Amino acid sequence: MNPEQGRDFIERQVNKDISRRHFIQWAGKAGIGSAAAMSLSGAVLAACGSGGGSKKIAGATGDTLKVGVIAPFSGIGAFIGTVTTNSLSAAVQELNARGGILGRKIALVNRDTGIDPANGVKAYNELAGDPNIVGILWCGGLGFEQTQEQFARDKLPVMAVFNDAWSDKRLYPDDQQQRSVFQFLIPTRMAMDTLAQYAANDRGYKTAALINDVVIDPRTENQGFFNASLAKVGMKSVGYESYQLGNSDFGPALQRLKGARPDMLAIFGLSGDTANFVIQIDQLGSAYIDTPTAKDPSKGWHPHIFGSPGGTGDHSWADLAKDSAKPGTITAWHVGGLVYLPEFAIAGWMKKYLDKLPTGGEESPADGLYTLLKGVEKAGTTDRTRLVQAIETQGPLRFASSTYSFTADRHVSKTPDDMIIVTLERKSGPAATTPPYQLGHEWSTEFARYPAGPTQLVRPTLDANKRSQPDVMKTVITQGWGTQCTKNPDGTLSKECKIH
Amino acid sequence: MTDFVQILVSGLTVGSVIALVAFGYNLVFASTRIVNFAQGSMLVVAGYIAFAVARAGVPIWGAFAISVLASLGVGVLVEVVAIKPLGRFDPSTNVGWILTTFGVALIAVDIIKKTVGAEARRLPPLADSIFGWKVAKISGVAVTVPDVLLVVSALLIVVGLELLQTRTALGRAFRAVAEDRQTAGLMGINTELMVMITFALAGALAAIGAVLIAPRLFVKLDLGVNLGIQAFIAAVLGGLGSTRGAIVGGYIIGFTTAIVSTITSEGGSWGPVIVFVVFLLVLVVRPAGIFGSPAVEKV
Repeated sequence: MNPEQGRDFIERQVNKDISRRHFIQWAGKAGIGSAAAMSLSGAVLAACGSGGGSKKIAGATGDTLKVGVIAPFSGIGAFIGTVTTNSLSAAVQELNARGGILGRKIALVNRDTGIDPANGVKAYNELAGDPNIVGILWCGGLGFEQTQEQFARDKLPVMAVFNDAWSDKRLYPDDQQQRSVFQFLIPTRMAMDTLAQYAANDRGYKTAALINDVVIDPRTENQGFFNASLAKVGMKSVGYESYQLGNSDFGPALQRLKGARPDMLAIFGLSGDTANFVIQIDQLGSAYIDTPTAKDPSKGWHPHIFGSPGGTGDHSWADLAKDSAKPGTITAWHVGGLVYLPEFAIAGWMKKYLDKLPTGGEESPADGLYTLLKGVEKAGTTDRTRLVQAIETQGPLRFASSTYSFTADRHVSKTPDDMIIVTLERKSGPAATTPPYQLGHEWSTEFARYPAGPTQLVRPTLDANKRSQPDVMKTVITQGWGTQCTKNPDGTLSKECKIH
Repeated sequence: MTDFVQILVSGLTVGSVIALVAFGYNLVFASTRIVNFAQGSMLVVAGYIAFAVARAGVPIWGAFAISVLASLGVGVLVEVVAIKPLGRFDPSTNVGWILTTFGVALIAVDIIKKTVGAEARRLPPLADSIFGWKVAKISGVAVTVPDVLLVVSALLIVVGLELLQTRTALGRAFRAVAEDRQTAGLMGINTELMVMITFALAGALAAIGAVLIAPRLFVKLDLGVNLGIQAFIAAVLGGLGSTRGAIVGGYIIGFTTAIVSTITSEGGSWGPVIVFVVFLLVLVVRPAGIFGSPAVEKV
């Protein structure tokens, strides 16, 4: 592995793009794009070449199957568009190299949302009005929420690649009108459940507080999700603080939280604000040390910091916060997002067709495309109702990374068993704890040249992950990826090894 | 007591952050009657210049100096691209400058995104300790060296700009150009040069602000929009064109936000609302801002 690949490796561990797609998703809720009015929008038609020898697909015309793609290809979220473009470009070339779907080549019709939700609504209406479009990949572009009435009206299959409708029950079957929508993004509510379970069951924390960015969560739904997640594991919420994206001062909030003294402090915002927050809590003398200190009131207030996938899950927060980013800081992720694992195909396709390496998040657009096309293949028609039914009933799929599926009563690809815990480590090695713990083998190989990075905590979610992804977890254990914790004589992983 | 100290510290630091950006708006407006909507982006560009130089191994004070010098050129470039092509015009009736300065702002940010990348960057503080002192706790409130530097610098810049505008020939020329560009030209003032110098100084101010703000907000692309909007409000609140107005406007926003955040844990939601209420109330009483002069039309 050369230095460039090494750099890429560590970046993929933290999957920095999740923050970006969360931002776009959240920005869509906030509608901040229209206020800024900064869109440099422009439509791009990216059509692939056509081929012959196609089989009959009812409703389809020509030699291609056209799929609409709505994403921010310009503006502040353009990196989402880049992830989307790279993912789909590699996936389309791979699928076309395999002969396409029922003999038809795949063509993408891209539409740019910029940072204006109105562009998303307009793009959807345009694409939905084209009878040759078999479905839409909504890849983080704004306007998703504002288009839900049209989804219900048109019943055109929509793959919510980087948008979260599940958390606030706007996805089928919670919302009966949204049957044509299928979600790939980790739901915020699911991530919070995973974090709360780890806090209560592994760390033994009793109290928690939430710092929430209300620009990216304008309806302050996160507070309700957080309290519900805590209630499920018997933890108590002792504080809630809101702030605005780009906040420069957390002083008053920290004074209140210091009085409430939660064991665990969750910050749900982007990486820059998360970094600023941990710097200020460090300046206050309350930086996280280890679990025993976090639980012991006699040692002052040193809460365990938990963050969102887009905050502490983004490597840049540690780069920005430097020494104030403490080992042991936690976030939630999903197995399929560990795109560095050798058996996940997307990295190979990107290398083969684009001569690029994934930066994280590329598995989702490709899986969204594959889901839609396999639905067409199964249904043998582009009839929208039958296509949705085919997606619901086609069973487990595996394409870009891990196995996933949809059912008639589950329209989100991630399940709680897919969720994993990720923590921050430094190249200086494990933090001093009693008993000590072991880092995964990546820390003696690829990670050693970097000052800080994340690592996957294998043991806390191992049983669940084995149920969901048995083959992937077998590789993880065999290869020693992530923090493994001390192994017991029988080969199981000790629960006591990881306490920092 | 803790609440009082916290409000004082938060109000001064947040207010100074905003004022450092607002100075640039006011300097340009005071000389040209133009609101330079590229000011926020100039701050972003300056921050990334300082980051690039510091990453190359130059000490932060050297990076700071180079960024200030380079930003003088950035300011000139903005003037050449956004203002000069408009020719001679009355800014109050020909508002093409709104589009051109805004357009330059978008282009500048896009260039950074495509060349440097969209990730936030960290800049070391100009000083993180003074004679070994790094952080003081006053009634449980942390006060750091970069924060002190931020506040002191903002106050020094006010004094410097006031002296420049009122006690120097250059400042008088600025005011003459702002008052009546045609007459100023007839009096022998090179009005185009004055406008160019104004933009150059605004660029330098952006660089000073970028480096001083970085320990709190880092160097990132969205600073131009997020901070630019707050700074514009502060500038209008204090009176467009008034340096004192910029810092007073900044402190009004800073202290209002600090008080709201101390009173309620929902400060993130209520802070901006209360700031706008204060903004409107001030403008009802003083339509031209606190230190602004109402426009007088001679007939």
